[in-house]
This record gives sequence, structure tokens and C-alpha cells, in this order.
Amino acid sequence: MKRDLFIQAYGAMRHDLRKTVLTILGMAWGIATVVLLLAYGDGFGRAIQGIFETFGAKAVGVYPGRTSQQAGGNKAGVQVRFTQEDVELVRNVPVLLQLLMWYFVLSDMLPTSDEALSPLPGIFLSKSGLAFPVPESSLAWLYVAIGLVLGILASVLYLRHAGRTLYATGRQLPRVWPVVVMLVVGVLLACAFGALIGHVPLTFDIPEKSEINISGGAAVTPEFLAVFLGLSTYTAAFVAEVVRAGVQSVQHGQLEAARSLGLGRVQQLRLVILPQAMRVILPSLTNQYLNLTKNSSLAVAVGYPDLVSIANTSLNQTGRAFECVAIIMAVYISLSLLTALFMNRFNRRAVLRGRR
Amino acid sequence: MNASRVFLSIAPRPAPRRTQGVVAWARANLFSDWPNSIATILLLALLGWYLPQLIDWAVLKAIVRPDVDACQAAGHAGACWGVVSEKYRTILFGRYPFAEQWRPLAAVLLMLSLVGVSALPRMWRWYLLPLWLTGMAAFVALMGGGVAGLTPVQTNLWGGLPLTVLLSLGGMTMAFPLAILLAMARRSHLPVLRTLSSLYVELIRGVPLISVLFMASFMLPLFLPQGVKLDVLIRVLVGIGLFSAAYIAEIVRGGLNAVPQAQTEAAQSLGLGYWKTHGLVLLPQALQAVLPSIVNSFIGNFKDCSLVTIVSLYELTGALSLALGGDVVWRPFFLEGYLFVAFIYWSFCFGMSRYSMRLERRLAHGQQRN
Repeated sequence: MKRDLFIQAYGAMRHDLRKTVLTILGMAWGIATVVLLLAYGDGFGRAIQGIFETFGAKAVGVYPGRTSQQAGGNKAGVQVRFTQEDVELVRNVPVLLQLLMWYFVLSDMLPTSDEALSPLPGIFLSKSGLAFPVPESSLAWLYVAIGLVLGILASVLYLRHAGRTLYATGRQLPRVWPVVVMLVVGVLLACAFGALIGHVPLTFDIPEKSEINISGGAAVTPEFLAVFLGLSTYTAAFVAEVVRAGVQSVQHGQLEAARSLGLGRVQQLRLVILPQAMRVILPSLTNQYLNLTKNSSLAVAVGYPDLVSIANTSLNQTGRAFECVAIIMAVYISLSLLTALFMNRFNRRAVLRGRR
Repeated sequence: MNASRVFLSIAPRPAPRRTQGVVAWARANLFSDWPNSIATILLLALLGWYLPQLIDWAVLKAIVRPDVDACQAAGHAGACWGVVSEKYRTILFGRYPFAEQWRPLAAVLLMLSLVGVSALPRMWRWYLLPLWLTGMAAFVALMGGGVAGLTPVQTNLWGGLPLTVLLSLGGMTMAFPLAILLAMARRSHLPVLRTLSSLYVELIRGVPLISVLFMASFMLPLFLPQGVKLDVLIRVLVGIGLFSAAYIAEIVRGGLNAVPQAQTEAAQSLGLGYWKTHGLVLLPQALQAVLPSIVNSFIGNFKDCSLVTIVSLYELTGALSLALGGDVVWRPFFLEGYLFVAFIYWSFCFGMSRYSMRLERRLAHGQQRN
């Protein structure tokens, strides 16, 4: 009996690995949007995200809303006003209901697999989930990795050189496009080398649609998609407010000072606004990520086999309520503590940099 | 002097740009630079594309009559609000006996008016406490029956909106005193009390509500003495109360920390003891300062009550699944049902968040110095 329980718990843990990945993906989504937003200021990033997120609305035809991160909301334009309403819309509806809604849309309203939507060639969206191409394992990917590493090395050297030039002469070298070029060239060179010495070229496993099903490639289930989309839009709405509050907390004089020093738009954000805003943002952001971690337990509601759902099954089979609930709690507490530890460390750096 | 120097007037400077009016506003806010302009145009285009579709779907082609054939004929081109007009009583009141459903309605209205009354700052007096106790008792009497000639209704039949209201309000009422005690304990000088309180708060804040609910519905019965049976509703209510107490305790602690040290010293020099210092001096100031945060956490609590669906209590979200899940005819129109429930949640939460903002402004008045 005890042994069975441990085996079950181990299974739960292994499944939880998938869920941890899910949580990290959600975080990455959140972080990526924040970074994108901060990099582009308001207009451009917002438009990109808008397109990105209305794709959900297109499938349903429900509401023309965007639920993305909004910072830099100093300008009272059309964008800001719409998004504030969307953010309110998302914030004020329970996350469980949102998950169920996403799940219903993804599992009931999408076409069956023989009529799957194909927004891009090689990508199929249907009731049975989202199928997408994956790289086939081959030696060639090793060369891509080598090329990337070389590109990164070259970029680091170049950036150091650019920094030194800036301090020595006050001249600014371009930073963004040379790095992109170096990465691309690195990968291309390495691949060319790989092809020269006779290794197979890169191949992708592309899903194909047949009468019966969609085969090949990799696929994620509608459950996963529902949890992923639901949690990330919900969290994004909260993170949006946190980031907005942080950016607005920086005194306007700072922006004016940065501008009068002749800093560009990106530099204003990166060197002046962001370090100060981060001090305000990080503690609340930590809270939001802790909430995200805990909210991921709601995956059980749409039937995603996460820790809670597996523990629930083993609870029903073994009747050992105490052990199962204890396992759930222990896993979540350790996840929460890890997140808090990581974010606090990050936070400490942000705070120290401000006071030095 | 030479007269050939002709005095040439400089061409008049152009008038300064308008800074007021629609065009100027649009230029400053919507088209200030090119990324902004692109974003504006893209968004307007998207809006122009989707808004007509949305109106078409939700209003023009919508079917409001509870008529399945009409809904199926329309396909999903138009919203089928008929699902709401057909099923709204199950969605709102769950499995409560159909003939008796005026009781949950009255109970919910009673609770909402109680909340409305207590939202007015001029009503914040001592009599609010007995008022709430009476209100809660009346709520339970209305819902449960067995008094004044009302037929008894088992708690497992309670559902829908009354359950959401009961769980959120009841949980909050339970959490509040506990939270104040926890916050005081965490600030206390007694190491055992402080450690225990910190441990409790951190532990609860580290786990999801679901696990607490599981604990309440599966584990709590194991700890009860033999023969004692607690209703699952009460167990879940206790679970929610214990859970939100940890969160509110941190808010209250923040408020207590924000009261200047001199207030404590002043209270002590007046000869007030520990309890009187807290009750008469510190807590009134602390609670007033954190009231908006408490309202916020109440909003969160209200939304979190939807989780009790997972331990088989049919509150608003669960009642919807109850109403539509087993019904083959109406099942394809789940989305409209979800939107309806989402709208109910949204209107409650939006109202509360607006109230919290007003409260914040109002409380800030007292802090302003001229």
C-alpha cells in the first residue's frame, strides 16, 4: 500500500515536470511580452501583441480585445483606453471560468481534424489540438548549436568593443543589427561547414493531414492549450497593471533629464526608466508569478493531467487523503519558495544597483 | 547714409500649431511618431474589422427566445442567448427546488443590500456587527428553511449565486478577525507566537486554494472525533476562511507597520494596555489605511470561490456546467452560458473595484494638508 503510494507520487512528480515546463512557458510568455514592451515603448510592441492575441478572438469571433501587457501608458490614446477595458475584462472574471471557456472553445468549437484550420503551412489547429513541425533529430542540429555559440561569442566580443569605444571616444556603435547579423552568419557558416563535410541538411518533421487524422510533427492537446492560453492571458492582465504602475512611478523629470542628455528612446527606457521602475515592479511581479504557479493547479478543471489531478486520482484509488494532499502541498510550497528565492535574488540586484 | 538699404520685413511666422481640438489631440496622442501611428492605424483597422462582426454576432443575429431549433438553424453565426433565458434559473440557483427559488433570490438580495449599506462610510458604527450577524442568520434561515413554515432544504441542494455570495461573504467574515489576530501575533514580541503565525501565513500563502479545499473536503473529516459530522459546505467555508485569513493578515500587518511608532508610545503613555492600544489607537488607523487593499483581496476571494466547483459544490460556475453539461440539446451553446456567467462575475468585481477606487480617493482626503 505504502509502496504503491510512492510509485503514484513518483508518477505525479514526473507529470509535474510537464507542468513545471508549462509554468515556465507561461512565465517566459509573460517575461517576453514585458521585454518586448519595454524595448519598443508603447506603440509598436502593442500593435504586434494586439495582432498576436486577437488571433484567439478570430477563431471565436467574440470580442475584438487585446489582453496584453501595457506599460508606458503615459499617452492617453486609443490603444491605452481599449486595453484598459480589456485588462479590466480579464481581471474581473475568475481564472477558472476563463480556463473552462478556453477549453470549450478549443475542444468544441474548432473543426474536427479532417477539416483542421491551417493558419500557416505545416500548422494545424483542430479539436484534437495544435500540431506543429519539430526539428528531426540529426547531427546537423549540432552545427546549428555550434554556430549559435560562435555567434554569441562574437557578439559578446563586439559588444565589449562597442562599450570601450563609447567610453574612449563617446562614439556610439550600432548594437542591435550587428549582433543579429553575427548570429545569422554564425549559424549559416556552421551549417555550410556541416554540409561540406557531408552531414545531412536540417530536416523538420512536418505534420500532415489525412482523412483520418493528423500525423507527424508534434502536437499539444486542447487541454494544454486551454491552460496555457488561459493562464497566460489572465496573468498578463495582472502583470500589465504591475508594469504600468512601475513605469508611472518613475518621476517625469527623469524622462526629461534623459531626453535632455540626448539619449535615444531605447536608451531612455533601458538606462533611466527601467532600473528605477524595476524596483517597484519586481516585488509585485514576484507575487504575480507565485500566483501563476498556484493557479496552474486549476489545470485539473479542464482535465489536464497535472499534479493535482493525478494526486486526486491516487486519492480516490488509495483513499489516503492525508498523504496525497500533503504531496500536493509540499510540491507547491517548494515551487513557490523556489520562485520567491529566485525573484528575491533578482530583486536584491535591482535594489542595490539603484542605491549605489 | 546710403539710402539704398531697403527695409525688408521678415515673412510672418506661421501660426503656432493648435494645441486644442480633435485634430491636435489626435496628433499628440495617436500619431505622435511613426510606431505610434502604425499602432493606431492597425488597431483601428482591427477594430473596424471585428467590431461589426461582434455586434452582428451578439446583437443583430442573436436569438433571445429559448428556441433550440432557431438557435441550431442560425448555427454559430449569431449568439444564442436563448440558452440563458431557458436555463437562467438553474444557472443562478443550481439544484434548489424550483418552487422555492424565491428564497435564494430573497437571500441574495438581502446580502447585497447588507453589503450596500456597509459600503457607506457613514454606517461604519458598532451596530454593523449585530446587523451582519442578523443578516447571516436570516440568510441561512431563508436558504435552509425549517423555521417560520419554510420547508427545509438540504445544503447539498444549495447552489448558484447564493452559494457564491455565502462562500465569499462568510469566508471573509470568518477570515477578518482571524487575520487581525494573526497580524498582531506576527508583530508580537513573543517568539513562539510570532513563529507560529509566520509559519501559518507563509504555509498557506505557498499553497493553492485547491489543495486547501481538498484538505477541507477530504482530510478534515479524518481529524474530527468519531460521530461528529460536519457539513461539507461548512468545511469548505472554514477552508476558504482560513485561506483568505493568511492573505488579509499580511495586508493588516502592512497597515499596522505603517502607523507611526509615536502612536504606540502616545497610547502607552496614556496608560493603555496592549489590547486597548491596538483596539483604540493602532487598528483603526491601520485598517483605514489598507481598506482598498482589503476590498481588492475581497474581489480575489469572490473570484476564487469559483474553485469550489472542483470539490462538487455547485456555485455559479458549477451550476452552469450542471445546467448545460448534461443537456445534449443546449450543450453546443455553452459559450453563451459562459459569457453570461462571466458577465455576472464581471459586474460584481467591476463594481467592487470602482468602489475601492472611490474609497481610496475619499480616504486620501484626510491625509491632505493645505
